[in-house]
Amino acid sequence: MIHNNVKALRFAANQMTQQALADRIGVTRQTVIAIEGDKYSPSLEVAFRIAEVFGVPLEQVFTHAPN
Amino acid sequence: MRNLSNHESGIWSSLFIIVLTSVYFFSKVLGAMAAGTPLPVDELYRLGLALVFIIVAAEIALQVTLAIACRKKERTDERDALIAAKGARNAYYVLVTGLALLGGHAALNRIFGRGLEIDLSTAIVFVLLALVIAEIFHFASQLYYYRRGV
Repeated sequence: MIHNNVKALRFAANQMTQQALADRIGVTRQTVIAIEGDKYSPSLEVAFRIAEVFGVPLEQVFTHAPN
Repeated sequence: MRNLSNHESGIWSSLFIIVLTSVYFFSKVLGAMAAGTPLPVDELYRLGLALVFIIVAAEIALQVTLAIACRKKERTDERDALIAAKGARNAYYVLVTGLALLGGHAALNRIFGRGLEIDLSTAIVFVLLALVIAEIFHFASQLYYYRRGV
């Protein structure tokens, strides 16, 4: 299972809105909502874009917990 | 519904259209078969074409209505593409299962003969039923993945 800290990072980044993050990483707001709710694991490309937006390494955004 | 995208609204509407039209179609066709007076093949073709025409016309009207209501075209992304692909895969499994059952029945008929005969109109109804169920699975599974995650 892949977990993420997108919501926390978004709030830490001046309370960035879901729509603003979605626009910057090239997905829809619904996809950002799904990622934050652990209902969708994005592609590597989108995952790297999220990390770039927040200026943190990938492992600080996503963590993998074995089942 | 909370966080329902235009894309999801379109899928809900398509599901509604296909369920409504197919319930009408199959209640008529299967009702006639149950009454012991199956519809002739010509009538089946006519009804089948009417079904396809109504679905296509309703889909066009729906897309136009959604486009007017939303004004701005909603973009799709990798999640939409993945969900559409998974929906199509599930529909494919259902369709192949339906056709394999029909083919299996025909093969058994060829081997064992009597009691397993299936006429042309019944075979057409079965193929149409498999197509409609596959399409319902197509839409329903997409809605499931949108709500429950993919």
